[in-house]
Amino acid sequence: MSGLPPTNRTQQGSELALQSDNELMLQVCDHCNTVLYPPRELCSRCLEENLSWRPVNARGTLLAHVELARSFEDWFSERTPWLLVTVRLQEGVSLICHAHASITRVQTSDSSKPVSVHVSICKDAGGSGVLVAMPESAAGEKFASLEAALGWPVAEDFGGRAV
Amino acid sequence: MQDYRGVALCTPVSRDYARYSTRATPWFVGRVLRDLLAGSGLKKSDVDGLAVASFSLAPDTVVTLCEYFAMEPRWLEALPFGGASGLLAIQKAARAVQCGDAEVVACMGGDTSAPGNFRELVSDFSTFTRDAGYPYGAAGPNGVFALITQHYMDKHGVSRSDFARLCVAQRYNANHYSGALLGHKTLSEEEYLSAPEIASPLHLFDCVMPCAGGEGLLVMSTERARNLNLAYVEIAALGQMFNAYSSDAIQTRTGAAAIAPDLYNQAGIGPRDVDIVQTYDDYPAMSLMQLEDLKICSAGKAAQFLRERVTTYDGEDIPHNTSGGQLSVGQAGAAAGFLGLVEAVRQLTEQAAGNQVLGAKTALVSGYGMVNYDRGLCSAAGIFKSGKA
Repeated sequence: MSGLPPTNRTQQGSELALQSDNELMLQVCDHCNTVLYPPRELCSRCLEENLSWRPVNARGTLLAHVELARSFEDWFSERTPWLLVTVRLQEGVSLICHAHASITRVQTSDSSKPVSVHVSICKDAGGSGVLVAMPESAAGEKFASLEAALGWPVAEDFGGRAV
Repeated sequence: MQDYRGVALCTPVSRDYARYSTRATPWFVGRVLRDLLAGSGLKKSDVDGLAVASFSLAPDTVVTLCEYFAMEPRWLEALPFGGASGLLAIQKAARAVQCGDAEVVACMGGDTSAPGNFRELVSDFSTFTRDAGYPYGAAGPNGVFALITQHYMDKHGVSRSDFARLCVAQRYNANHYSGALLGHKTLSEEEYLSAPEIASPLHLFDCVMPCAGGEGLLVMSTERARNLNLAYVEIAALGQMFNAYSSDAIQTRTGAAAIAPDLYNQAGIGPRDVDIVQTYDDYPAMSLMQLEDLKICSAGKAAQFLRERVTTYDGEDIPHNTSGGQLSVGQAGAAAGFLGLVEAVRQLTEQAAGNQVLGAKTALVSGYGMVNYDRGLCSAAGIFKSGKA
């Protein structure tokens, strides 16, 4: 096991890590209340500059799920298949998230049977805040790390995925 | 809107494709320019406009290329539009020629490729990519398009065998086009289906091979083209849209869907009057989407369309991506945004070699690209008709 997941972020992107307790916090415009993602410096709707990180409804609909077999970064390559999903929040933003394995084995586009998931913020191995999609039953649970949120057994002295 | 009457596209050039190259990007652009001059009989001083698309030109720019190529143009355009670059280049160049701002514009795409270059490009493609794309699996466009493809397959009941139809037909076309990097290899449905997984549902033959190469063509008046005795193509219609359908939760259609009605109005023809189609095939699902968006088939029915039609260059139905597309030629950075357009001009001027579509008079070309976060933001499309030599 080597390296870290990507750590390069914009100033606003790095603020995702400061949102604590796994609760889904996103930037919301102080002026027009638009929920914004990815992080930015201006509101896309009204172009005002005062944005605050606020809790948003973390329940979303699963739109797509994939398994990455290859990555440009060793940290992910060593942990394939790596699961990614697209989640749509009620607020009208789509989130690309890391995903818990239990939510990815379903048909995603049958609109008569939408799959609901819960989105949390966790810290990854590089200390950055990242979005993680989990089963709805995980709402309210606390996770010390991305690995814990993904349900991996993690040993203190073992840099990554302990099995 | 004013039409594009009186504008000629000529001298299609595609060259120097290589998986990797130690050459810098100006070399690729300069080699295309050399062929544009040789093919047209024009002198460098006759070319008073340059439009250049590239992902790897920095720290050079279209301005520094003027000094490098010892030119004194009066009109310049840089094209940060990825897969829509070619169509946007000729749109701007055509207006410049119509308005008299330039007489002859060299429209070119060129990119080099070295190990590690592609990772460098995709890891920091934009600020949204940096914060919300690359940290999630660091798969570059494969990750985003795997998500879009999975959703499209579920929504419309599309299987990998359907994508195989497209990829196998394109490889057959590439087998008859000498410029294709993968043209020396055949591809069967079995080989397609058993290829290694990249980002499920995407496997090896769903993903373009990044490479080096150059593409280009000249834009001038039809009068000038006739005086030079150049075979040319006329623009029957052009359209572009950016960040179209931004409220769609995930990409299920491209801006081409918004462009299509006006496109056929401008051209005064319908989708069935088109002889050949070139879509931007960065991934098979995106080509299927463009075929639907441009009304070549009904929405959600592209897979069925491909199952029922022959799309090879020598087929009786509708030849599609006649040089093999990026999937078989290679994706030479932003030059890939010229690939379908340049191939269409070759076809309509009967300058294609082994893959010439007999009697093709009308071509539909679609460009698409620039993933910032979860979808491509640029769309452009055009309809072209062969002019007189």
